[in-house]
Amino acid sequence: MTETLHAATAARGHRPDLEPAPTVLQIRELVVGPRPQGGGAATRNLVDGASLVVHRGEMVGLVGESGSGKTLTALAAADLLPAALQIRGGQVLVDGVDVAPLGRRAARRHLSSSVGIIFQNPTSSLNPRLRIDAQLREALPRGTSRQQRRELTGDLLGQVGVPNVVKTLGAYPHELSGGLNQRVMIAIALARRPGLLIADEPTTALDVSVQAQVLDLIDQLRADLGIGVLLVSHDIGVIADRTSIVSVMSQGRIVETGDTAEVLRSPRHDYTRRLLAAVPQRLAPLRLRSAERDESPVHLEITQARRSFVVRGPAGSRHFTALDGVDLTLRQGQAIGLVGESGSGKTTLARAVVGLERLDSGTIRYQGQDPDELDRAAHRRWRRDVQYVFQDPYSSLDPRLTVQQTLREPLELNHSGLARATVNRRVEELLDEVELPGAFRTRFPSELSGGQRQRVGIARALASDPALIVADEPVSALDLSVQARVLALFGRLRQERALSFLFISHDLTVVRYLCEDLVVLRRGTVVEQGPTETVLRQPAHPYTRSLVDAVPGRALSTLPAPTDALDGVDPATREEGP
Amino acid sequence: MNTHLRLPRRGRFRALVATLAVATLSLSACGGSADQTTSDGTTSVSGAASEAPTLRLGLTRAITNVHPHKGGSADSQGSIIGSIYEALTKVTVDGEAAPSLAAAWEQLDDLTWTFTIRPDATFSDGTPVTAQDVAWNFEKLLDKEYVGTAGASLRKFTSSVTATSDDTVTFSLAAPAIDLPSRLWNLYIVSPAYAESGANLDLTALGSGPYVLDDLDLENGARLSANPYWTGTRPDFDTVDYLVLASEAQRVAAVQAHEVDIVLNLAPLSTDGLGGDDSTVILEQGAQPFVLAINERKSGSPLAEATVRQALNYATDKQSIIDALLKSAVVPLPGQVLFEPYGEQNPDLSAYPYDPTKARELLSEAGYSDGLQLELDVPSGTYVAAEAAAQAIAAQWAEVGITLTLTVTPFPAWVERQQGDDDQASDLVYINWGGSSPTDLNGKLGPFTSTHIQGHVDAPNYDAFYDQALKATTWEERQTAINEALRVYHDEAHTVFLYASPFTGVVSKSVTWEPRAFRYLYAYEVGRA
Amino acid sequence: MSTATAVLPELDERPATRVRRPSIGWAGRIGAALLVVIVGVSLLAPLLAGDPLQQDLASILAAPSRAHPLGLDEVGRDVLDRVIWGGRTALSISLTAALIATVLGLALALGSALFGGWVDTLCSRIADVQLAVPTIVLAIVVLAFVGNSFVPIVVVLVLGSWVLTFRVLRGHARTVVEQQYIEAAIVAGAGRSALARRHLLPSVAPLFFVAFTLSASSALMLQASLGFLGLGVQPPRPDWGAMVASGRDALSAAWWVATAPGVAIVLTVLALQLFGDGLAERYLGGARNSEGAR
Repeated sequence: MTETLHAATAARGHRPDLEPAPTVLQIRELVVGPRPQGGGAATRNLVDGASLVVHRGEMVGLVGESGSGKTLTALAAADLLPAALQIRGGQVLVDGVDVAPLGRRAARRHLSSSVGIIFQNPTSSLNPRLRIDAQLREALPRGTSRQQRRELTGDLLGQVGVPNVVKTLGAYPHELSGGLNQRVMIAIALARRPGLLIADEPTTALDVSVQAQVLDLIDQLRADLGIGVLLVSHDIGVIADRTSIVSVMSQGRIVETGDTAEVLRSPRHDYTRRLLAAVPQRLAPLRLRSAERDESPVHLEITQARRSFVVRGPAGSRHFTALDGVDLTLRQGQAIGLVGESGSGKTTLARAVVGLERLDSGTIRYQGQDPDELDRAAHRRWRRDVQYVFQDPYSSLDPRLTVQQTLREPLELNHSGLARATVNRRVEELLDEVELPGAFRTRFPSELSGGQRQRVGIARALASDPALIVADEPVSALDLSVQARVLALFGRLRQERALSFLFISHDLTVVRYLCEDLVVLRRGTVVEQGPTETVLRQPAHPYTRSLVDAVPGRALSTLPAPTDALDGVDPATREEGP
Repeated sequence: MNTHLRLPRRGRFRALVATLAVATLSLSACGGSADQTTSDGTTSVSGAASEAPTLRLGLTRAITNVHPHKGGSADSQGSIIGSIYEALTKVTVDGEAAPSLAAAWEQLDDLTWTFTIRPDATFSDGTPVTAQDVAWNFEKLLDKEYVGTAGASLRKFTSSVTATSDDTVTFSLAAPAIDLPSRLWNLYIVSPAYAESGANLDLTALGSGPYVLDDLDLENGARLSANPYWTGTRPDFDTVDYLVLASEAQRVAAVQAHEVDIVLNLAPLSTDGLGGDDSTVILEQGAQPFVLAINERKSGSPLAEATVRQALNYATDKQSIIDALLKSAVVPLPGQVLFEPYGEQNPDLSAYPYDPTKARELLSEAGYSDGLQLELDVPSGTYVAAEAAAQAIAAQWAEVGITLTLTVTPFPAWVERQQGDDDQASDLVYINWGGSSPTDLNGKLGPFTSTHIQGHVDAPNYDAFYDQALKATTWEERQTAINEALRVYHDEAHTVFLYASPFTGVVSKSVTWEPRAFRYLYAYEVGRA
Repeated sequence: MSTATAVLPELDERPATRVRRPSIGWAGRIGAALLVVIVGVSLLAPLLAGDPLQQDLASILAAPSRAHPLGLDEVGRDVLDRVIWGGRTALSISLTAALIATVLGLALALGSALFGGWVDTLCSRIADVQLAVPTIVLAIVVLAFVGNSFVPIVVVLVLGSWVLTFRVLRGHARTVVEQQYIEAAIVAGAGRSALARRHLLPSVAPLFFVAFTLSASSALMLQASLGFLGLGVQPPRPDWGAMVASGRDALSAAWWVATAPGVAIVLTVLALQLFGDGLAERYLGGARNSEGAR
């Protein structure tokens, strides 16, 4: 096992026993903090003495959760800090040159020729009003002749594996997919032949299979061009698979640095341990009531669901088929994971189940009845029974309502006539159930973290005492450790309440943890379904197989399974308060 | 002004600009005139100094039509129509009926008159004016269905008008009319061939007057040029522009900028700064009376009682309003609606004195010692200083316990309300009523009868005397009837007598014009200085 | 069930902090201060000013003096008294009209956003038609035939200013309706009225006040214009627009009669605009931030 890891590391270019390659980036004791504003007391530094080194041909990972300072560290290295922040101490050496003493102009010039950077959201990083060609030309070094530029742009796109170079050159960013745009971004980052590539969550916004391709590309460029890469990510799986050296960052400090395999195998710092424990691959799957599964009454039955949309694009409107004859049966108490990439129709299906979307044809029967055909009272009961947890914990809470106002809403609407005191007590109970302190009642969403918001969203769904919960990617917007805790919450709810679950996710590992059954959607049709373990172990359909293969974090699965998988999660399932 | 809130920063700037613009606008109405003087003054003065080819006359109301048979106010089309058409007679500045299209006339008996057409009379297309043409016009006017409304009063006393020879028309009357010639002055004669060719007489014209209509713009004015077939005295100006100057501000600005040679109807207070080296200010007593017409027929109205109406007259201090608002240019009405030199004044009557004590006595006598609520309709922008005068009256009446509510409305709404039924109409109306010539008895006394379309009085005694006057066969009989009518109106106080209308204007010294208090501004009467 | 309350400081997820709204700015503050003064003076008119109807025909158009700081008008009334009392007229009419107009605009905007479809199309078309007709022309036509009293004037002002509120609030309400928390509320059992009451109204409230101040300023401007054209409130009730109109004829002889009410109009409109823009800066920016750029 250890040998395997070493071999993998060696392949990634760093050989601790050989003479080290020249450094392309050296950060020493970096301190980043808010620019002092008149009279304000010295505020807390956001990066507090971070040091790291990237050598040529080496991929270094910087891992941490949101707010840990990892992105700021990367931005500081490229002199791209937001205007409100500044470097308060330490040194940044790029290609061995300390940029601070250079003038602003010289520093910029030096950095622009030696550092390439790519960001999380490629589409918004590109100028929507310029063709790809023009954006590439802009990125080329000064003094490149017209002729050269024309050739170089084509070459660059070829280099980053764009299939149709000519067509892509003439396109606008919004006409390209996210994966293609990220390739274009990489091409732009490489245009000046930098020695260092900073990749800040380069694949977080992309689908799993595309994610793998882009990471492959970066890895290949590192090997071919011998550039150093600083890969910033919250995803330990990605870090484990791709980097040779990793620095773990928490609260502005680098808490642990070392050989990736070494760090993952025997983490020294508590935070690293916690982080690892939260990785969904490593959560022991919940297994409930698998035995009597098939005898339970049918709770929800979807037959031949079809839905298409008219999409108005730059090239006129076209039809997009989201659901193309989907059949699905959910039994009482069952949890089905619905997986597929973006555009596979899984969200449309979920929304249709809760009545937020209409079907073109087909039926959705809840306890044998079509909600549209119910009388008023029965429809109200259905409304109460079927609840939804949204993907985005930010936009699914009204920013103007406090937590208790949000939770009161379903109570007041569905159980009109409840006494004020009863409502308040129920709010308290709900908060307790989702493991939020009662004092959070009076907070506004802006005063909550993402995980806390998602808990409020779950509490809201629970307020109506539902029988079926449809959850649309409820953890995908959350940091790993938070994700683990929210998943644990879901698991507990499944155990404590007799809930049926329809759980939508693009992340197979998440589904694996929570659901005993799996349905794989692709382009609006079900390509494979069955018990989760079976499907994951022996995918029958090639699409399922490609999904399974693309899951990052293979390196992690080779680690010894922690016996205390939920240790870091269960005893204290609360996130940091503000 | 602010339909977008989305960009606050830009919005604020725009709002500021808008506000300043508005401020400029609201002040420019006053400041603008001064600007124009300096910018336009020089060009106009030099234009006047040379042989100004065109006469420029100001009108005070928009033109509604130039139809020869629809009457027409002196302040708008009346002046134009009188310059392009001829009637059988005309009225001199002194108020006498004088030959026009008719060279002479003769009364054969109480009910028969003949008029002899001027032999050289010619329409502006060159065809001669015949007695048949004249008879055709009167035939139309006597037809009840005809669009020309000027025939309405004619029909009351005329049976027929026929051509008895090529140059003679004979009037057969239904009732005597000893002043027939002066009743015909505004019944203009249009070419029958032209009228029957389908021409729109509201907008085009073919008459036998000294001018022809070249161009007409109802909102802005008209251009006239000399009629080549005119055989009378050639007018001094070959071309004439009538300019509509519908507001006081426009008139003042036009005078200051030397854009007009004559303009009438300026507020007495604004004549202060005008006049001087190059123009003369007219500020005299006009020919028509201002009154507060009374609605006596509203159900339950206190104004049905003569004592209350008399109280209103006693409560009104005419002189102080005249002194303050009309620059003392006019006199209070002598207790009647006719006054010298423009009408057959009853010498035995005099103005109600200002006597609030008496007014209060009369009110309590009538049972209104606790006061009275009345409404006064005032047309906006129509009469000189009307709103100020109405407010002054309201203040004076408040002294005797009458609460007068003003309703100032635009002219059309104001007229419409008076033409409505008694209960809808206001208690009182601030109005300038009266004839359009000194001998026009129908115009001068008619509006005060109970049957007038805008009237709401209940004055049967007056109506009877008025009818007698119209049908009188001798001048003495006529004057006696008029005197009786005026006496009844005074004693029964069927109106609140205020004061004569002011006659104001500015005349450029480059022209000569003998002022006509009835305000008709005929182009052919204006000479070169 | 776990009731542990321990917080894990080593875990880094930090909540977004509350966005501090920008202030209404110096211009907004000047506007607010002016407005307070104007409203205050108008409210206290019975204490501060004499009888605005008291005439002195013997000394009309008298120049400013100690007894009459802004002189006398064309029937010898004190101009200062009339300007102060005229503030009551201007504010009562324009604020009433603005209130009705903004409430109407709010109702239609919420209806449009919640119902969408033909309701939205119909309301928007009506708004377009309304925008195509110049308010002042509409006002002149209506008032010339209906006559000018309080109710028709307010109706005309409402007609002229509801579109502003409607357009702004409709746009905002539509973006709110597309927010996910509205869907969440629907799933929680909210009908249209509950959505409007619980989510839309609180969300458009700041905009509503901005629209109200701006509507009030345009209503005041329009009201003054109508007064200027002789279509405003009935004399002798003091009205700024009518005072400017009556003073205009005597401007060369007595500048104060038109100038004083003119300045009052400008200051009030300016105050409302500045205040409204200050509010817009504060709340539109703030609303946008807390809505999230998601």
